[in-house]
Amino acid sequence: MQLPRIVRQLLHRRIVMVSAVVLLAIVVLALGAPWFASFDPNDTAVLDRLKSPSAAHLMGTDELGRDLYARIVYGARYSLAIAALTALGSVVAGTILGLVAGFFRRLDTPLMRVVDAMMSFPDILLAIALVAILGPSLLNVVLALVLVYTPRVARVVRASTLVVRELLFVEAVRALGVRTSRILWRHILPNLMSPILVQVSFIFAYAILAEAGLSFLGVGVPPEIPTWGTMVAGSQQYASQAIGVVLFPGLAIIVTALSLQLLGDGVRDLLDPKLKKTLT
Amino acid sequence: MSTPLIEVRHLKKYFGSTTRPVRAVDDVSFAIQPGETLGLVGESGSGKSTIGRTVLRLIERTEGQVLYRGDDLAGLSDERMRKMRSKLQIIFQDPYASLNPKMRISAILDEALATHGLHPGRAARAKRIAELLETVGLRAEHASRFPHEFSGGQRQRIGVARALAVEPEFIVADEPLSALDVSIQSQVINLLADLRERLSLTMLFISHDLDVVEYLCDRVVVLYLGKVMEVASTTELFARPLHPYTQALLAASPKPDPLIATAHVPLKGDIPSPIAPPSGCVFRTRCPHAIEACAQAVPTLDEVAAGHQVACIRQELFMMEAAA
Amino acid sequence: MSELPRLVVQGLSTSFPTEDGLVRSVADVSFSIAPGKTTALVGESGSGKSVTSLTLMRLLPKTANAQVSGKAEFGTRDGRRVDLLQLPDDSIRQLRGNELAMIFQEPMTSLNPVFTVGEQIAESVRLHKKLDRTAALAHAKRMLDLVEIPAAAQRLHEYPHQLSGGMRQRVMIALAMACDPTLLIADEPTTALDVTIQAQILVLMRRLQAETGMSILFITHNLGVVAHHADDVAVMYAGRVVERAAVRPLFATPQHPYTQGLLACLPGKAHAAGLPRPKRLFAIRGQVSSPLAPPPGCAFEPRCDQAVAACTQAMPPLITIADARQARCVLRSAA
Repeated sequence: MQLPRIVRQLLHRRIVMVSAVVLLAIVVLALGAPWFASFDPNDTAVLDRLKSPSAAHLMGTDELGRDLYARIVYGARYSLAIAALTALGSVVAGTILGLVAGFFRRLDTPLMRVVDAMMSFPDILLAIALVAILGPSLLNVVLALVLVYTPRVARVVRASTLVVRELLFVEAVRALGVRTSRILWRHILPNLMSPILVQVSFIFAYAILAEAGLSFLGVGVPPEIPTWGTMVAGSQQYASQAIGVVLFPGLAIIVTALSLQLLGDGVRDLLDPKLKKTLT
Repeated sequence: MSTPLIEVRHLKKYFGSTTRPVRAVDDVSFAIQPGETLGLVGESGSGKSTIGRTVLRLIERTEGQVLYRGDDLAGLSDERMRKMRSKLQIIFQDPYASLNPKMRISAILDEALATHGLHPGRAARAKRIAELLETVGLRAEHASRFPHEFSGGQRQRIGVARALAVEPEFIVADEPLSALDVSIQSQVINLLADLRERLSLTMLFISHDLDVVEYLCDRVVVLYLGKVMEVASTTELFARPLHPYTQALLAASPKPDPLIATAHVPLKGDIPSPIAPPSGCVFRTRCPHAIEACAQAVPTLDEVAAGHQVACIRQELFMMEAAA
Repeated sequence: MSELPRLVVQGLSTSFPTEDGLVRSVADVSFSIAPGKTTALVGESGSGKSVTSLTLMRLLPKTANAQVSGKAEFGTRDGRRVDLLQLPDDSIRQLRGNELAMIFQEPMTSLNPVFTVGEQIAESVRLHKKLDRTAALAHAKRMLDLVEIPAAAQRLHEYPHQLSGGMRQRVMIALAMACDPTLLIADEPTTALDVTIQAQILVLMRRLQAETGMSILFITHNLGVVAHHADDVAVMYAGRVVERAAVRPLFATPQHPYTQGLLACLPGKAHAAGLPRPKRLFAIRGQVSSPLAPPPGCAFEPRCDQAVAACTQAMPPLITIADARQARCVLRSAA
């Protein structure tokens, strides 16, 4: 049985393949953290603090003697969870907003003005402000980031909706007398999947970076929760003694975000309207 | 004369700004009797496609009335109009774009049936879908495929099946053959002619191909720049075209026979823009018989013989020629 | 006085390797064009007529990795006979836009939207005729006059989007005529135009041909246009030439079942012949086979009402059945 065309084409692009494999590895590590880490991430062992990578501690230890490898692997759970929830939340909210604005002419202008207003704030500042108002907690960080990214998704979805709305088969089902709600759900939305999927992957990447940035600045997740960002934030003054304490979480952030972006690029290239067959 | 099934009265559709609008349809009136096929003929800017869509309220009119069995469609509520759509259907020009590429044929037809509560129940609908496909010359097993697996001609048949699924009385065929190869066109023409007879359909056939119009239509309306130039029965129009534009149109279509001489001198100039149509008779800028008076007033559509109407102040010229 | 044909195409084949296999878009195509005459290449989708013209002009995209074989002998202005398919790139570039010109179906996409009409014509003239800027622009204006564009001096400085479809096609023709071509390849030049505009363009092309003596390869699917504007016809089906004849004999007594079917299914045919409207139009059943799964013998056999057993055995050769008439059908015998 032949694999779906998209998967076959994805397999042809090495960079996309590598990114996908890397991401898969990270997700597997995160999900299977208890099996992959030999230490508890919160076990302190002050005598072993700031050790370099060794056979026992693959990435060394941090300032409290906690195994860095274990912390990275468990931290992946939090970082990925935050990013995934952010992506999910902003895509759902943004899609609803964009779909309604794009399809119903009268709602377009008011909704888009609100979106424009939100987008006029730089991401990080808006996130900081929201967390400051809501208070630092995992959920609030997710909420803040969702509010930051929803407008971006809404813009993209609205643009695509404006295009799809004018397509002939949409006019055809209108001519049949199909109800508007069904048109939106069954005809417009499925044809927005390409840009939506692309947005998901990009926001995932941005969210990883944003959470790390916020936590680093101290206005993100509370420092007790071991996300990669809090790890960098908490250990930064010890970087001169053992570079690993910031290097490894930093690398984790970079590698994950980069893989997500490359995968998103690859998926977007493939889902773009393909070159029509030019020769008959 | 019974009540026309569809009557269009002084229909106008303007697009764009209010000061300099695009006058796509500019005061068009005609009526279609039950069981009749009316042809709408014209070139770019004639407004024929816009009329088709405006009649079905896929586009809202600017002025004028569209009556279905005497009732103005514009007066209907959204919900009533939605239900009315099962009676008034359309076949589109582009068979590649008119079907949702992500839906199987069975889903496309099932949706049409379900929207109007026809053949309730999955099994009943599936049976009906198989029937519809056979009616249009396809096979029941085609239902499980996606549109891209079919050729242009087959997709157009699916479009016809979809229109028929909701059991319409009236079908607007908007250039249904233009995107098809010549050898496929005759297949679809035969299909439309068959269905029209079996189901007693009334049709508005929009086309720029005069030969097809001559074959399929009972009466023809000739449009130019949003206005009606001439209306007549098909045989009348093709035998005795009275409007200079109709004459030019007929002469310009090359007949597929090298032995039929074409001493035709083509019309000069281009079709004017619908934003700035010429004053008076819109055709005067290209008309070989135009005189000063043509610029003064828009000629009225006058009945010069039974069922034959012309909008031209010089119609006596051609009446004499025709009579000679 | 038998002049050599302007173009002689022999055994032209173009194939494209695709994910799903090798697609033979054009196979064993042969035809010729006499000087000052028009040869029409007639076919529907999948016939390979457009690929044929692109192959002759060497305009196939490099990414297509086309495999081309055959010969295309062209008589240049200075009397040489060259094979268009074998010429090195710079030689073909010297011919293209110069002696060998082409006009396409969609004038909007064939003209560069960011240059004025005058600049585009002048560019071609400067390149091939080595004129300076002022002389080239003056020549461009003469070209616009030649194609009967009103207010040519003003139009020179307008952009393609400011012109109507018919005007743009005239500009394309002016562009093609700018360097006095001896062969004009017109790929569906009037298909996208309104009927009344089409009539103007066809008359214009006829006049230009009479004045300059250029040959025209006219690619189209419109039999009405062929009947009145072609001298010779080559009918193509599924990448092959299935019939060749002069225009009158072709319409009077078509020999190949496909040609017969094509002519019979036209709704205008009965009316033109003065016959009453038939209840049903003749229709060629089925549709053209996928190029990836061609029938074992004759490509038209699955749709042919006259097919016999021999039709599935092998692809019939294109044989000469009468004076200047060829057909690819087992039912026709050699002269």
